[in-house]
Parts: sequence; structure tokens; C-alpha cells
Amino acid sequence: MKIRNRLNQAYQQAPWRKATQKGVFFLIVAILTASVLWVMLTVSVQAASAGLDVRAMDKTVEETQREIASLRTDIAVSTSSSRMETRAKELGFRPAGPDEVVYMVIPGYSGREPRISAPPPTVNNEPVLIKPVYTLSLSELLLKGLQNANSFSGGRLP
Amino acid sequence: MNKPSYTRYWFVGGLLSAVGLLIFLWMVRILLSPEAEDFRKIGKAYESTERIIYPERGNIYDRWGRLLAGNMETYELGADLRYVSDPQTIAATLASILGVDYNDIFALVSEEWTSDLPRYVTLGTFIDPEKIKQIETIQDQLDEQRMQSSRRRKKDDQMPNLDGVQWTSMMKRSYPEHSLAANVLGFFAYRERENARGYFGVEEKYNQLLTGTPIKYDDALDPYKIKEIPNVPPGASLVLTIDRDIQAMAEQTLSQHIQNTGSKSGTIVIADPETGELLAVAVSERFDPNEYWTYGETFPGITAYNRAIGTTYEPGSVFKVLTMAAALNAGVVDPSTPFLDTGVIMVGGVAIHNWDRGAWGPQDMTGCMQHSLNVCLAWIAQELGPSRFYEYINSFGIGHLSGVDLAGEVSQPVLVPGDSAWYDVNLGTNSFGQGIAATPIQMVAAISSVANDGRMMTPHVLKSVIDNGEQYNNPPQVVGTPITAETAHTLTEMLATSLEKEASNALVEGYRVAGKTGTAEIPGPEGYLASATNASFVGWGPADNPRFIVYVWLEQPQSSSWGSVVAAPLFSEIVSKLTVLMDLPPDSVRQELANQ
Repeated sequence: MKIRNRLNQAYQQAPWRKATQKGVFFLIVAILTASVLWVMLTVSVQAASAGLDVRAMDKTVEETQREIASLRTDIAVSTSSSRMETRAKELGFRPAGPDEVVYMVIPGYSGREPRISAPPPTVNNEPVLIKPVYTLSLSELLLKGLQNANSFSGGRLP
Repeated sequence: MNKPSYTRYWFVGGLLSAVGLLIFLWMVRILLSPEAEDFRKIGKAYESTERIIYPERGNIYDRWGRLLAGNMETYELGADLRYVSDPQTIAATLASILGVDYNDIFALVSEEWTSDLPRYVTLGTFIDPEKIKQIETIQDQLDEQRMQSSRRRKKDDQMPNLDGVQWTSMMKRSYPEHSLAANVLGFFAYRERENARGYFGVEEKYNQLLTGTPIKYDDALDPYKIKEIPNVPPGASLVLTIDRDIQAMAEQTLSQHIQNTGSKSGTIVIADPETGELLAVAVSERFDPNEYWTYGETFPGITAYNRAIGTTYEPGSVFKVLTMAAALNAGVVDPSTPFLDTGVIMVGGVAIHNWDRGAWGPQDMTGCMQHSLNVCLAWIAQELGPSRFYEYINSFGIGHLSGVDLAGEVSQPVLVPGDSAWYDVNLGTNSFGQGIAATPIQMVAAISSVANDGRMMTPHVLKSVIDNGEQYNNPPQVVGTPITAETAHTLTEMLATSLEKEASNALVEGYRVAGKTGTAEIPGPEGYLASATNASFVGWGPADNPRFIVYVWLEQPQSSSWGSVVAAPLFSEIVSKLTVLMDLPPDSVRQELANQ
């Protein structure tokens, strides 16, 4: 009781202490607010930046797919029947006649089997690229964090 | 001590509260106003844009995995009028590179546009990447010049530039083999953009599979709301039974023979009788599907895109194979059944003669086939009776679609007893392939039963489908068994023997083949044409274990009207090349290898 009276007396005798207390309190609130704003701004900037990156990457993927398809067709053009025949003739080859072919038995070889030498067109099976942290608002993120925390705390030990 | 006055604070606080309340009420008014819905729509439009993703069209391969139809990158060129400041340079550049009209481009890009909203005009579509590269190079050079001279020039001076010119890449269908197998593939009309689809052949028949499923999604314009573009699987790819090398060989050989014989057109079908797989389908009218818009030049009027499936004709004596198969199977005749050919037979009160109007005297059934005697086959049909004869014709699939998986197949119904247009004489003429019409593919399907132990297979070109990285095979399908295996073997032996005895032009050195020629008259508006014929040949081999069946049809050959003279040599040449491409050793070597 005595100590409390002394403190009251000290504050009454030195009003600047009250002002300092208010100032510190205001600064704490200001710093906390600034921190929250800074976090929100940072997350927002990261989300926007990631969104633009995703869009750019999507475009790159599309371009790459188109390029792959074009190159595949280019290869097919370069090895087309007419081109290969022309090149073979230029190199001095000619079609073999039936009487020029030698047949022999090769153990284990059952003849040419139909197969696919070219892969199917591009198939996208990539996992989800954008983390939920970039698609949720700050409040949604905090709520989700709380829910996760609850689910952990509610769990049972094995 | 004076009491502090709070009037000023009350005034400022009241004023701010009143302004806040006013703003709040104004917002409520806006939200409840009739225009609110429009504002929401405008807001929504700025939030995202609806976008449809079209999957990459599936590829088409031959049986060995060689690409027959794929996709290539191409560009749409346009200009955003907000940024265009030098229409002359744009028009001059595009005119020189793309070969388009200067005035057309200039008119498009010189349109007055002062708004901040985008205004896009299309300047060209389906432009090759090389041309875009040239435009890009010029644009870079002009930008570089502008940068360098920016310090020296006055404020109002304008350097030449291509500002506002934009390009967007897209895909177009490409056929690397050009006209090769074009009649099997069909074409994809990619210039129709959103409405593009496949026409004819495989492209039309399997259009849905090749196209895949387009996906519609909202593309967020707000970077905070950007989501991944949904995964759009490409359309399924198809592996065909067609062998590119055999197809090329068939087309080249056909073209050469059409030229040599002066034929109006020609068709060759090569199939595996055991499975019904089509190895090659060559027709004379071919075009490059890369330029599909020229379709009308190659196929004027009602010209079939693929004669093998789209044109019926009276096949003539090749049809005798089916008549003889029916008679043998029904037990009406056997190879040694005697027949005295007097050169004429009356059927339904009409006299039927042989092709040479001669009498060939005593014959057996092999002799009837060897000399292609109409009189003999008409007699056989009579012995068989109309009921059984047409039952067999029906079971051979004549008059029905063969079920080949190519768009554009046609068939012509067979007239049968009871039909108003059927007369007794039809039985006689139908027995040797006149007065009855079929497509080459129907004939191949029917006669392949003789080469495949009596089993008739569905002719098809689809070997397998590749969808989402998984391959689904298309198993061969048995249509029916119109004749027994014994009948099939007997008839094959008869036809192989008849070719050998005749020393036919169809014989292939080292390989025993069975087959039959056909020379058919062509019906016209006023009866059969006087001097025009259809020359055909159907053959299969090796006779003891058939691996191929080849059907040849030359329309109105000029060098000779006889199938034995023009179609049989074509068959022989095809088979001699085919055996090499199929790695088929000569019979003697095959038996030798089998004994090792």
C-alpha cells in the first residue's frame, strides 16, 4: 500500500512521466500497426509477384509445347518419305530387288514389331504449383493457421 | 482555472461524422440503384476474362511410329492502335515481308484512335515463324536506330518504327508427308479457328478423339487472384495400320501405271487378310492437305475423296471369286466338276456370252476360273439358285458398308429377287460381277475371307490410340465366316493353279500367289459404254499362308481394255516390291528357313 502511494506521488510530482508513458504506449501501438501493415504488404507483393511469375511461366510452358510440336513436325518433314528417297538416290542407293535380298534366321528375332518411336503429345501431370499461402488473404491464412493448430492440439498420441 | 472549451472539437467531429454518414448513404444509394448491376458487371469484366483452352490436336502416326499428321507453330499478326504512330512504315514492312497489299494494311493501321482503351486490328493470320522473325529483326533495328538518334533529333522528329505491331503464336495442322496417304488421313480445316474440324478420312472419323476436350476458365486480371492455368490434356494420338513405305510405293507405282495405261483413275488397296489391317490405300486423286483449301481443284463436283471407299463400280470378273466360293461352300460344285462350255447360256430369257464370245468346250471349275468364263459362272449361279446366291452375297457384305474406320464410305444396295428392278437375268450377270456394284474396300473385305480360312475381318486403319500417355490397341474384328476354311483353301489352290496354267502377267517370281482378273463394262445412261472398261485384279499370297491381299482397279485404261493386260502386271509389280518391304522371303527360302 505504501509503495503504491509512493508511485502515485512520484507521478503527480513529475507529469513528464505520464507523458512518456503515453508516448511509449502510442509508439508500441504504432509499431505494431506498422508491423502488421508491413507483413500484409509483403505478403501481398509476394502474392502479386508470384501470380505474375505463374502467368509468365504458363506462357513459357505454352510456348515450349508449341515449339516441341513444331520441332517434332520439322523432324518428320526432314525424314519424310520423299526427302529420304531423294537423299538416298543422291548418295547412290537404289531400291533392292526381291532377288537381291538375303534372308537368314536370327535366333530370338521374331521380325519387326509395330511400335511407337515418337512419344505422345505433351502431357501435363505436374503437381499444383502455387502454394495456398499465395492464394489466401491474410485473414484466411491466419484462420487456417489457427485451424491447423487446433487440429494438432486435438490429436492423440499414438 | 478556466474550464476547457470543447466546442471546436465537437464541431470538427460532427462535421466529419456528417461527411462519413453522407458517404455511407451515397454508397447505399449506389448499391441499390438500377445501375448497380451494370457496375458489378463492369467490375467483373475488369476482374477476369473468360478464356477457352483448346488442347493440342493429337498426332497421327503410321504403324512404325512415323508422323503423318502433326502440329506446327504459326502466328497471328495484329496492331494495337493505341500505340501505332507510324502507319507508313508498318504497311511498307508488312507488304514487303508478307507480300500483302500496302494500301490494305495502311488503311487498317491508320484508323484514328484516341481512346485509352485497346483497339486491336488483325493484319494477318497463320504466318510462318520465319516471317515473324524477319519482322522482329526489323523492329529491333528500328528501335536501336531510334535509341541512338534520340539525343540528336528534335522533339517533334519521328523516327520510323513498328510501334503497336504485335503477334500471337498458335498451332496449325501440318502434314509432313504432304500428299502421301492424304486420302486416308483427310484434313483438318484449322483456318476455321474455333469451328475447325476434321474432314474425310481419319481426321473426320476420329475428330472427337483427336480434338480432346477444350476447357473454359476465368483468367484473373488481378495479379493477386491469378491461378494456375488448368491442365488441358492434348487430344489422343492415333497409330494407324498404314505402312508409310508401302503407301509411298503403292502411290508411285499406281501413278506410273496410270500414265502408262492412260487410265482415267486408279485405286490400290493392300491389306493383311488375317487382321483386316489396311497397309496402304492409294488412289489417283491426291492433294496436299497442308493446302486443304485447294480441295475443290483436285476433287471437283462429286469426285470421291477416296475412291477405295467412296466410289462403287461394277467389278466384273473379280466378283467370280465370290460366286465360286459360294458354290464350293454350298457343295454345288467342286474343283473337278465338269462343265461343257457352248459359249452361250440363257438366263431369264437373255443370252449370256463369254468375254470373247467363244465356246471353250469341256472345262472343270479351275478351267472356268482360269478362262474367266461368264457362261460357266452364270450356270453355277443357276445351280446355286437365287436364294442361296444372294444369301452368300449378303454374308460377304456386298451391298453393305464394310465398317472401315474412314469417313466417307458408301455402298450400293444389291437388287434381290422381289425388288421391282430385279429380273431373272440379274442372277446370271451378277455371278460375273455385272449389274452389281461394290467399292474396292468391300471387295477386299469379302475376298479376304478366301485368304483367311473363311473368316471375314473388318477392314480398318486404326491400330491403337495413345491417350494421356497410355496406349489402347484396336483388336481385329471378325465380321463373319461366310465360307469354311476348307472352301477357302480349295479356292485359293484353284486360283493359284489357274494363274500358273495361264502364265498370267500377275505371277510373281519366287512367290505363289492366287488371284483373279476382272474386266467390266461400264454402265452409262443409255446402257453399257461401247469401248470403256474397268480393269481390276485381286490377288493374295503367299498362297499357303497369305500375308497380303492386293486389290487393283484401273478405270478406263486406254492402252488395253483387259484386266489381264493392264491390271495383272500392276499387281505383279506391287507384290514384288511389297515382299521386300514386308521382309517376306520367297517361298523356297521360307520353307528352307522353316526347316532349319
